Amino acid sequence: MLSDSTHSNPLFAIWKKGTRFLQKDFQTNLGGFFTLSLAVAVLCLVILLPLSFLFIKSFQDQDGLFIGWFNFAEYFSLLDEQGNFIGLLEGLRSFPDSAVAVSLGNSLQISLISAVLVTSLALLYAYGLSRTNIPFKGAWKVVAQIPILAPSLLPAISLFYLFGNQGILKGLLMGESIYGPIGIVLGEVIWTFPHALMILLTGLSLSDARLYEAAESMKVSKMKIFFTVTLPGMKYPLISTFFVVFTLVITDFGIPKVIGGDYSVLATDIYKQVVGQQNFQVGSVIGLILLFPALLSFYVDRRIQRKQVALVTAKSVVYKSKKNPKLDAIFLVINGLIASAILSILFMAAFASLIEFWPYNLSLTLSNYDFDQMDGGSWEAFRNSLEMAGWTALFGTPLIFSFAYLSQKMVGFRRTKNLIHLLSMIPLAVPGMVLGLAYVFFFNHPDNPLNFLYDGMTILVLCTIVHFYTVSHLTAVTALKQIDSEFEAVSASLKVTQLVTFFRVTVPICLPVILDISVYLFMNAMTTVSAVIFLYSSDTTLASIAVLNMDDAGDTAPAAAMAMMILMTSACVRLLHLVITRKMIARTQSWRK
Amino acid sequence: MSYLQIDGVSKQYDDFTALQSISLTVEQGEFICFLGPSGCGKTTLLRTIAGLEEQTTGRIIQGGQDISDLPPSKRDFGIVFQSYALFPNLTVAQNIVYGLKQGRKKKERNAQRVNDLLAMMEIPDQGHKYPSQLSGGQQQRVAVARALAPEPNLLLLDEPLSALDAKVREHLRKQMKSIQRELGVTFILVTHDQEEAISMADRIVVMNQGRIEQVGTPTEIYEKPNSAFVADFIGQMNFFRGQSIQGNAFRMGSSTLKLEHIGENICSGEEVLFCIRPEKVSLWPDKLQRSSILQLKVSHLEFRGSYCRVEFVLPQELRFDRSTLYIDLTEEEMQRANLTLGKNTDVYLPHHQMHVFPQKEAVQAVVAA
Ligand SMILES: Nc1ncnc2c1ncn2[C@@H]1O[C@H](COP(=O)(O)OP(=O)(O)O)[C@@H](O)[C@H]1O
Ligand SMILES: [Mg+2]
Repeated sequence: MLSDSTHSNPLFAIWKKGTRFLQKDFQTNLGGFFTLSLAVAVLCLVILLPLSFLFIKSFQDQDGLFIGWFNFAEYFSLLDEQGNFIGLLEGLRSFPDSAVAVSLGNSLQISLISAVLVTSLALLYAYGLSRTNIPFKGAWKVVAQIPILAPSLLPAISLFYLFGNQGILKGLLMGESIYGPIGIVLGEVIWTFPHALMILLTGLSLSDARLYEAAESMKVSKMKIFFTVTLPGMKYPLISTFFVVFTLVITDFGIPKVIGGDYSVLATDIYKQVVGQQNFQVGSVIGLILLFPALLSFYVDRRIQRKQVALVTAKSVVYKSKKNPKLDAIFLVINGLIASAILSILFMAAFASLIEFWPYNLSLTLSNYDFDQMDGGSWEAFRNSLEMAGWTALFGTPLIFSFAYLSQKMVGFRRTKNLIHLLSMIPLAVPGMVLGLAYVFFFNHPDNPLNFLYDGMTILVLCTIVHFYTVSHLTAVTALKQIDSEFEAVSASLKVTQLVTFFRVTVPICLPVILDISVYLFMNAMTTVSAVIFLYSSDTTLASIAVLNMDDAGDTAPAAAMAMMILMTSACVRLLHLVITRKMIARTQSWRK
Repeated sequence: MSYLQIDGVSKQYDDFTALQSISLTVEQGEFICFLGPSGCGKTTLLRTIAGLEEQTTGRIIQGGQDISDLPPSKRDFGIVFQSYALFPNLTVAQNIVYGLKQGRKKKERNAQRVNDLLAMMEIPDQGHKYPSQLSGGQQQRVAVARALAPEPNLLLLDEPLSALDAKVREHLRKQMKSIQRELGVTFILVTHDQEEAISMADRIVVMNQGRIEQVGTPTEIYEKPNSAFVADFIGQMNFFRGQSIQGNAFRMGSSTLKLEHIGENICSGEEVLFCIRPEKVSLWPDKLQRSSILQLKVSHLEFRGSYCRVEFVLPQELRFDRSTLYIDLTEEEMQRANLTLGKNTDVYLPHHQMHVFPQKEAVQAVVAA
């Protein structure tokens, strides 16, 4: 009989199983099926497709014709004057003198130095905060967070005032110029410090106190404990910090632009190619190169996070530092020095924004804040920034949170959920400029039916949401994982749809985290330069772009003033956030334990 | 026709088999316990019945309807998890009405239902509190009340008492049993605690390594275990070695004996295991029944409150999992026997209280347990 033979066929069995599975998903959870598909489609549209366009673009000429490795050859100086390929051997010989080799070398150099410096400084600072009894710990933490409130341009501008040709501390450089690697490294160190500190503080707080207590009870010196217990225990956070900082620096564009002088790096190269020469093809080639360190860092970080989870056991004990006045004094000095460096950067920018004409007329004035009188700046830019940041938080937060919810809490659909999570991780590995460029290619393409999105504010908001997607996603995932995983099962048994439970239970429980995400998005949207540099138009200039443009035009004091405006806005939002969170927690105290 | 029929259900996780062709029928209004060591697949089976896990093969029929492919929201059951999964941001009353139809007209009826349920669960006047303001035992009762609120015909409970301390647990056992009788709802309760299963269940389903070992009333399971695993897992049991001679004749050490109840799967000449519960061993002959007699030396005496545990050294050739045989004696019996450490005594093993299993099967099962 036919049916018998087909039933015993293993292929038929697989086919039958597959269709039964699909049918079942359709029948039983149609809503879930479509919601998840929609989420995957959206993420592909805003992440995967633009990046593929960037990739393709690097193999095309201006008119979109496929030209193989030509763009790469051009960038790597493998072409002679007639545009002919000079051969790999010849190319290798002349490579060290080529512009790309210089930029690549410079980028690697400053990123390495900054990463080493920041990691060690932040480790000292974090050690002082979590392993000694120095006073004012809260104040130290607040000060260390300041650089995150401002665009990376602000430390660079301050360095100009401190160490520039007219700088008050110029003597400290002993004849060296601040314009170049020194300035870039100093600026990057300040700007990336908060990021490094956060990772290391978490690492220290997770390490097991019992090891320290055991070592201390054996009368081992603090120094020896540091090298035999603390450092090995901090291996993963340190590696992670190093790579995070390395990536931040190599992809940062603001600081080298402002204080780098003639010192060329990859990030400024891409800007010069795209904005200066309108050479989008070579721009995309550099973009692809910039993806490498970011991808590597991303990979290392993922690996490490997995290991670190295993490192922390449920029985770990929190460390309580013992009295040790000598150690406290040492770390008070160290933390004091680092904090005053940060504060002096802040005060220098604030001061510069408030005086007539550095360094000849030091009388106070608010005229630098009269942005409408400046080339490249306007109060409208600031309003645009507020608007952009507002939309980013308003649209980004629900989008990211509900996608994170889908990836964690849908019943069934294991593969699709993993796919959503995977897609959500990609933006972390994509530098802002690369993402921005990819958006130009994809959304500005005349044949793209979605090119109506390439319109002023919309594209800025979209790109910013995606640029800061991953961290927000991970924050949401962490919070969602802490919620009892049976809530969805209970609702199903009570015949209540998952959507109702989402709004009645999940969202109220996660409200503080949702607020965290929205503030994170808002602050980053205020300060970002790299994600939006290729995407703004004349009527959607942003505050951070205005800082760049005014500085470019020689209006450094107004640039400092605008940077201060951004910083103060971020600080206010952060304060407001603290107050609201505290109120909210107090109001829901009765059910939060 | 039975209320719930589970027919050849298997569950495969990648290369791990969590359930192996489970078949079981449950009658309307029964109190069933799934009992087995941790990791044996109890939760998986319960979740499969609920539709929270998809079975790899097999069918499930509830109330005459094939529900094998239905999602949980289309099946008729309530569920109580070990964590209770109470919604922390809703009050007790809001939690309980969560699954009821809401609306202005229904308000009064729902409030009434909450009061009834809270009264039944013996936690009246707690409706306005949040779950975190209740004790563990009270939270557990709220979880049961919430699951019962929509009046399901089947209630599934996954280790509902294991997070509670002993006193509360004992009280709740009784309460759950009486509620189940009162409502006539079918209960399926998962537990790894044999005492819990024995004290509550109408029938116990003993599971091991993804299979059902035995299904029966608590008495059946206790008195007539049909595998060495069940014998060992439920209650206390002494094991010792022997050989089958033929039919119901066996050799134990140097003596031979004939047993009444033996399974069909023992071949002649095979190595076997005898087992007997400590309270069935006697120190005095009983004229009415046949017993094997062993002369053993007292190796250990231990006072345990209401009884005394006595251990005897077993001869080498009888030893299986331990080197001693133990019995429990009341104070009276202790006085009468007048035992002292090192004394040799006759120990009587009544034949109709002994069980016998093939040894190779038992070795696996006892090691697994
Ligand atoms: N999602 C899963 N993937 C792989 N194995 C699982 C999964 N869920 C459960 N198991 C395995 O199935 C077995 C039975 O689990 P479970 O039903 O929870 O046991 P019990 O409730 O009896 O303790 C365990 O060995 C467990 O490791
Ligand atoms: Mg379980």
